[in-house]
Amino acid sequence: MSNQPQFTVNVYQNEYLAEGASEVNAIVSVQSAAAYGGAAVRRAAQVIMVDCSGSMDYPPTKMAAARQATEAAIDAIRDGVPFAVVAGTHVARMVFPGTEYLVPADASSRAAAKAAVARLTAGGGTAMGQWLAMADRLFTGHEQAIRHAILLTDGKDEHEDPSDLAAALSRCEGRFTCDCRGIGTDWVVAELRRVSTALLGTVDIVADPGRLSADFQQIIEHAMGKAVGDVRLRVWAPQGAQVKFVKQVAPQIVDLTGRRAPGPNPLTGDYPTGAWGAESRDYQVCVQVRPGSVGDEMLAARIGLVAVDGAGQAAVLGQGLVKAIWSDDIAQTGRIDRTVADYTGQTELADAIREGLEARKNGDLDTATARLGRAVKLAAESGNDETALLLAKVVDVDDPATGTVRLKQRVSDADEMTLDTRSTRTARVGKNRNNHS
Amino acid sequence: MDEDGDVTEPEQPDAAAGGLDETLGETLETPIARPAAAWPSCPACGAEVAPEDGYCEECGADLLVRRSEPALPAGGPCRSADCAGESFTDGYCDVCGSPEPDPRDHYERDLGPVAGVTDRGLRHSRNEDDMSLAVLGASGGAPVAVAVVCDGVSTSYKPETASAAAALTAREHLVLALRRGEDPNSATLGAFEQANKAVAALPADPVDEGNGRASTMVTAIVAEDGVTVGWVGDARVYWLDSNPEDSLALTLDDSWAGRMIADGTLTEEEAFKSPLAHTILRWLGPGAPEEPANLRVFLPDGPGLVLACSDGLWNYVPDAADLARLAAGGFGGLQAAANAMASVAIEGGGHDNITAVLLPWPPRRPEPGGEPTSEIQAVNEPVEGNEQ
Repeated sequence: MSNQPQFTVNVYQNEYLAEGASEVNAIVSVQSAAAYGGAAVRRAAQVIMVDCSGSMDYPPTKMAAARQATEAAIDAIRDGVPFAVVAGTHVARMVFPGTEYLVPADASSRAAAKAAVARLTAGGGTAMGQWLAMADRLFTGHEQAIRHAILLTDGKDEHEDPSDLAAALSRCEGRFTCDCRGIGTDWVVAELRRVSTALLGTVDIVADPGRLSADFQQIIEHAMGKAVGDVRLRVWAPQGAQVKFVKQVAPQIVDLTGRRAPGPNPLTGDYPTGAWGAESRDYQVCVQVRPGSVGDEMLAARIGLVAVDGAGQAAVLGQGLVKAIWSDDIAQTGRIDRTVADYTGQTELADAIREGLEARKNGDLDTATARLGRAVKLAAESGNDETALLLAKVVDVDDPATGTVRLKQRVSDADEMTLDTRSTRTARVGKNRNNHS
Repeated sequence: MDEDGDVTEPEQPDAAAGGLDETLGETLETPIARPAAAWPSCPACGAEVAPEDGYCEECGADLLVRRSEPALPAGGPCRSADCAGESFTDGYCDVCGSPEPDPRDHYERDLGPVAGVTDRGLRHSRNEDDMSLAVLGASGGAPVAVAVVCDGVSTSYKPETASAAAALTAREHLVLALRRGEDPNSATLGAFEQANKAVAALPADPVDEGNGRASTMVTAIVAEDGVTVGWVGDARVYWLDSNPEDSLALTLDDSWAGRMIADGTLTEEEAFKSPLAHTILRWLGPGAPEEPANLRVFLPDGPGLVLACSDGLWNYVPDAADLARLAAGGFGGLQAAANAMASVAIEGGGHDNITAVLLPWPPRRPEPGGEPTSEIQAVNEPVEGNEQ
C-alpha cells in the first residue's frame, strides 16, 4: 500500500549489564511520516457523544459551548466520512441521524446535523456506559474504517453502576478510540481517564467553555489525519524472560502492560496503540531476563510495530531490537542512557502527582506534602516547566531543588483537576546520546 | 579451541571447481608437510594449468595470488547449551535470544607462508577483530606474504563491521598494488587510505550520527628483501628472532601509553598502570587524524617470524622475547604456533578478542594446492550485519 505512512523505530538503551543483572530497560521511539495525500486515504468513521444531562445548564454557558463545539467538530469532519451525534444522559439518544446508523459527511448532512445539535437541551442523568454502547453499535459494519469518538461530559457517571461502565469499556476496547473532555469541575478525572485509557485516547479538562470549539476542531482534525488503524506493538521476549511493563511514555503516559493479547507465538504478545497519523510516540519496555555472565549477549526483546487490518492480517511497519550484553567494564555498565532515565523520571513525576493529589483529597496532608514535593523536585530536574507551573498552583514552593513545599490552603478545583489530567503528559526527551567516550 | 596441529585442509584437485565453500574452513589432522603436487587445475574454471603459469589460459584467473577467505556463515543450532532453538532472526535465536553462531567467534586461515587465528576470547560477546591474509607467488622466486590484522574500536558503532571492511579492503589493495609492481611502502600507505575510506563509507549509527565506525589496523608485507609494516592504533607487529633475545616490537602503539613511553615521560610499567593506557589516539574511520599511516621497514639479519596481533594477545604477553619463545620458530607448524599463542591469551583470561598471524622470514614458498585463489570479492559487498 503506497498510502501507508513510513514508520521509523529507534531503540534507546544501555545494553550493557553488570554480571548478575537481569532487568533490561529501553525506550522505543516510533515516528510515522505522513506519506499520504490529504483526501480519504483510509476510511474514517466518527461519533460525537455530547453530555446533555441536566447539570449542563448550570451554568447554561456549558450547554451553549457544547452545542457550538459539536457544530465546529461537524464542520471539521472530512467529506465522505460517516458520522453521527449522540446525546448522552442516563440513556443514549440519537441526535443525528434520527436512527442508529452513520451518515457520510457532505454539505447537506452537515447542515442537518448542526440543525439537530442547535436544538439540544439539557435534562436527565449521566450513564456513560450507555453512550459508549451506542457508539459501539454505530461503528458496527465500519470495521475497515479508523473508528474515532469524542466524549464530552460535565459530571460524574452516577446513573449506572460502576460495573456497567466497566462492562461497556471492555466491550469497546479495540473497537474504537475515544478522546474524552471534561467541562467544568464536577466530573471525575479518574473516571474519565479510565475511559480514555481503555479506548487509547486522550483526556483533558476544558475549564473555559469558550475554548471547547477550538479543542473539538483540533481533535477531529487529528482524528482525520490518522492513516493506519489498528496498530500494535508486537513484543517478543526470549524463553524464560518476563515482560515487566510496556508503557507509552510520550506524548503522554499510558500503561499498556495489562493490555497484552497473545501474539502469533507463545513468546510474543501484542499491545494496542490505536490509530496513527503523522506523529511520534515513545514507549518504555522493561524485560526481566535470565542473568548472564560477562561476555554473554542476548536479544532481550524484539519490538515490532504491526498494522492489523479488518481481516486480522498483520503487516509489519517497523521493528527495533532491545539487547542485553553482560560486561565487567564499569564504563559500559555504568553508563546512564539519558532517554531511559528521563522518561523513568517523568513516569515517577506523574505517579507522585497522582498519589499526592489523592492523599490531599483523603486528608492525609503529610503524604500529600511529601509526594507533591517530590513532584516539584522531579519537574524542576527534568525541566518540565508546564507541570512545574501547574504544581505551583497547588503548592507553595519553598525550594524546588529539595522539593520543599507547603500545601496551599485554597486551591481551585479547576487548578487541581488540570494538574491531575495533565500529569501524564510528558516533555519529549532529546535523543542525542551523550554518553560515548 | 581446535587442537594444536590442526591445519586447514589443502584444496583437493578435484574439488577445486565449484566446491570451495564446502571445503574451506574444515580442519583435518593433516601433517604440515604437504605433497609437492603440481598445480592441479584452475580454481576458477577447472582448466588444467601448469605450475609456472601466472594466469589461467582459459579464463585469465590469477593463479599466483592466494587470499584467505573471510569468515563464512556457520549455521547450526543455538550456541546456548540449554536451548534447543534452531532458527534465527536478526542474528538471534528465536527461542532464547542468544546470538546466532558466529563464524568469527573462531576461525583459522593457513595459506602456507602465512597462517593466523582470530578468536572471540572469553569476555566479549563478539569478535570485533578480523584478519585477512594473502600470498603472492612469484614463479620460480620467493613469494611475498601479506597479513592484515584489525581490531574494531569497542566504543564505536558496530566495530566488527569496521574491522572486517578494513581488513578486506587493505588486503585487496596490497595484493593489487604489489602485483602492479608498486613498492611495499606506497602499497602500505595506499592500503591504509583505502581501508580508512571503506570504514568511513559504512553508515554511521542511525541513533547517533556522530558515532561512526572505527578500527585499528596493522599490515605486514614479508618479502625476501625485507619486512614492511604499517599501523594505525595499538595492534602490533613483532619480529620474533630465532634467537629470542633479539626479538623486538616493530610498531609503536598509537595509544596514550604508547605515546607516554615514546616521549620518555613514563616507563612502560608506569604507563600501563594508567586507566588511560589503552585510549586509542589513531584509528581508521570518521574523525581519524588525517596523517599517513605509521611505516617501518625492517631487514632481519637471520631467520625468524613476523607476528601481527591485536592487543588481546599482547596484553597477556607483551614482551617480544617471551612471544618468540612461545612461537618456537613456528616449528611444528605455523598455524599450530599461532593457535598456541592465542591459547595463552585465552587461558590467561581471554579478556579481549585475540588475533595472531605468523609469517616466517625468509618467506616460505607456497605449497601448491593450498587455499585457492578467490575472486576479488567482499570489498564492495556489504559487510553489514543485520541492519534492520
